[in-house]
Amino acid sequence: MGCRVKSKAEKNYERRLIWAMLVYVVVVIVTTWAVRHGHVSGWALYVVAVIPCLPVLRLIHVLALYLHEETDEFQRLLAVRAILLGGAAMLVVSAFSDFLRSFANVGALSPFMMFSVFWVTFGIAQGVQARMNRAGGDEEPA
Amino acid sequence: MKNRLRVLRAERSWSQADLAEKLEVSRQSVNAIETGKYDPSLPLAFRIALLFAKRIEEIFEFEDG
Repeated sequence: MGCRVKSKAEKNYERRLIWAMLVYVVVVIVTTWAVRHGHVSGWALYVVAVIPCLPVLRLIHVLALYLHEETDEFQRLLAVRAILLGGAAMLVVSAFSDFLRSFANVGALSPFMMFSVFWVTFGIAQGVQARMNRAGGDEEPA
Repeated sequence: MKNRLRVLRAERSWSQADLAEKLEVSRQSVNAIETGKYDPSLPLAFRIALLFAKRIEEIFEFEDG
């Protein structure tokens, strides 16, 4: 996003995103540790598997809040495009993985892969769009 | 859609940043509209027209295809 002035919505979004990501990482580490060390078994595994999904939902909520709060419609469009690209990449990788598992009995991808695919693609899409739409050197009056 | 935003801005000696501030959008957005990469919504087009005290069709020209 270069050195352009950030809107209030963007600042809120970045603050919320950092917190939600931190919570997600902590939850993943704690739940993984608990399962790997045999502290959880039986039906409780289902409950533990749901817990990391909650910060993921919060991350989606953070994106939705940004789209709701951003008053600059062009910035909103860029964000929506990035979200769509992230979702598309995630679906394609997910479908590829499922078909590979079905056709070739290849093992499933890491459970954290889809999450990473979405956010990495989302980040790259935002960076590329920011570069493509950079406001040139026209800081002075036309 | 073609527009006269750049010309109108020049007449007032405003930078893209000045116009962006007046419209409460980013400079990136002003640049995208000026260069034709993005067509503004009707509410934003009205705000632009209001700012320059002109009718929308005096600023934006529809091009079919």
